Amino acid sequence: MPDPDVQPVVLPDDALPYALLRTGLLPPARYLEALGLVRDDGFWRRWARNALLALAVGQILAGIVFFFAFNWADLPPFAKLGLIQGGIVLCVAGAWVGRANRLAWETLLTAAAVLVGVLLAVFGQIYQTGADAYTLFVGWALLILPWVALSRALVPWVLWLAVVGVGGATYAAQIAIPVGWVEPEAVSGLLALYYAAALALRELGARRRIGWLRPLWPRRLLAATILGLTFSAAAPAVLEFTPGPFRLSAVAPFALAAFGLSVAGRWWRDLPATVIAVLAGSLFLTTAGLRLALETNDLIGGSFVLLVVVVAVFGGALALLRRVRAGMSADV
Amino acid sequence: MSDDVLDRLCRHFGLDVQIARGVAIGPAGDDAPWYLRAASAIGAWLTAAAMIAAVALNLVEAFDGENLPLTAAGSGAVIAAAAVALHRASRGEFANQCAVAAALAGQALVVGGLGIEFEAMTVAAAGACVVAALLTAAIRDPELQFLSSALAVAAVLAALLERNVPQAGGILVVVTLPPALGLLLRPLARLDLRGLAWALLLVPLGALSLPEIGGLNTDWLPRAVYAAGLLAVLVLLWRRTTAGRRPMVAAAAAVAILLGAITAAGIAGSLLLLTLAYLLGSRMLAIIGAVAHVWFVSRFYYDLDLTLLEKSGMLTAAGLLLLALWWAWTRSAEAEAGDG
Repeated sequence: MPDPDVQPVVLPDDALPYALLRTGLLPPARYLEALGLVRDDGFWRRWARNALLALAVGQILAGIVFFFAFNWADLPPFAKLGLIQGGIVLCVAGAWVGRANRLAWETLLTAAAVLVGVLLAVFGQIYQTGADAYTLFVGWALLILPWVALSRALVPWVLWLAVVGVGGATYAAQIAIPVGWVEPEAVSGLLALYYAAALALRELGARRRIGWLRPLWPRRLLAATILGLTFSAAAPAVLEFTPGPFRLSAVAPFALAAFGLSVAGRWWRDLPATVIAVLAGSLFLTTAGLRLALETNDLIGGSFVLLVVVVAVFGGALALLRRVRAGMSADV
Repeated sequence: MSDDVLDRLCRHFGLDVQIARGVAIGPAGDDAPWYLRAASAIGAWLTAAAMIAAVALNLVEAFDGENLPLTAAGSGAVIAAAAVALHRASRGEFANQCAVAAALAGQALVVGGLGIEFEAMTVAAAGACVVAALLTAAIRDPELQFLSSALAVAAVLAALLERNVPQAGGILVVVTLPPALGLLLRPLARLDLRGLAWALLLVPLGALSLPEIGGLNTDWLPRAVYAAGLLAVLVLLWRRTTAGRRPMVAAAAAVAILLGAITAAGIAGSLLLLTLAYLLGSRMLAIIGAVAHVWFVSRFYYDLDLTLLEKSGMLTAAGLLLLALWWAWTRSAEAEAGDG
């Protein structure tokens, strides 16, 4: 009985000549001729023109950056700030003029938002206000929020979420932890909670059929970020040799995130999100296996313990993912 | 696979459509998406690393320091043989990836053990080449073939550098580029050597990133070899182009070769990759070529002994020239579309 997980592979067009050659149907001397017949010339012409344009624009931009880098030290402060503000105005104006082109709109608005951060950084460098670093990120996030909200585009929102995250982390490091409002180990968990809220809002918006929220990559990026942040606290807690109550509080958020996102990924029928969550869980269990191996105080015995754990964890994880994938295919 | 492409091929080469369709629908296999294969590969490589660590610790415990390098080399050979057996016996992606990782680890142990025992990279490189050839014959896996061959080519380069051979990078390109082009442009029917071809093509180009090989004043030999390779590929392209497009191909060829000649070997090499990508219809090679081109152009400007202002002028002028080319090409394409 055929294995339902194993499907016949239909070769793409550009792989046909090689398959025919290997079965002896096509002589090697005519291989290039066959490639010419299957080649999508339209695709390659478009790709080459786009690559040429990207290279041209990249070199011109690099030339402009080098010019200002050469003259930067000699420029008066108003010129430095004026140049960046001029760049912001140009980007916003260009986004407005090209608003019918989605790519131009999103790219230029994102560039304008980035330049706002550059402006604040240069301002702080020129005037040396002595302000804490978190004020730059918080100010940056507040200033670009109206644009980001009006943009109805994903990349500016991702940039804003990143800026707020960094602002929160620096606020914690510079104010909240020294004052005692929050424990250092809790910071990554709080950030993960913030990104989880963003993910929940994204899912809510997508369910309400807000068109620009439809692409799935932000969901996967947020899931990876949540797992990364919680893993960064959980893994050291597992490897630590000093017992303490906080170890469970560091591991629990990761366990919750990995389990929750695995289940959610299955419910969303989103295999990549499920793979990310299961892979993160497997890496954590491998870390726990490493701790087990070290606890044996026997290098050789410990190495075999680790080997058994790794084989069991990844073998089980991949078997689980195969079943999930088969289940998703059956649902369709 | 689209039916009209298959029909076109069958009509042109006089093939039986049903037989060709049977070839186009390949043998049943796991067509897992790339991210699932990546997760499988991560697990497999961690498993192989744990296995190698367990074996290595046993070796260190069992053998004294003097015999360790030869023992490591021998163990590497045994691990590679076990990996071959595992690959032949298995059906799953995870086990195959474990076998690939273990085979590579075995090859690395052979290279390292021989190199330390004989205190000569030449012996290690010879060992690496022998193991790569055996693994290629024993395991029909393009990824393993590529990685194993890449390790062998890197070991050969290390041997040349150890002996302070002048123009080591260029000699490596002279030896590897012709067989790479031959295997890619006229593959063997009986043996799948694409992994070997890619390793012979990409590793020497990557080695040009090393300052002692890819420096602007020292890379005349690889520059000449890549220019010759680019010329050969462009001639093939020119022959397969319609008469109307031949002047454009000839002009593009002249620009590409001139650019490679006056800039750096890496730039010539990346242009060769891009041209090959088009000829072979390989999008992967196009991406690698584009990334390599950006990398080597950046390296070129970094290595130039000029002020930032002069570099700024060069970059802007080159960018404007490319922009003019893009504009002319776009206008020509629009005019063609309008006529059509």
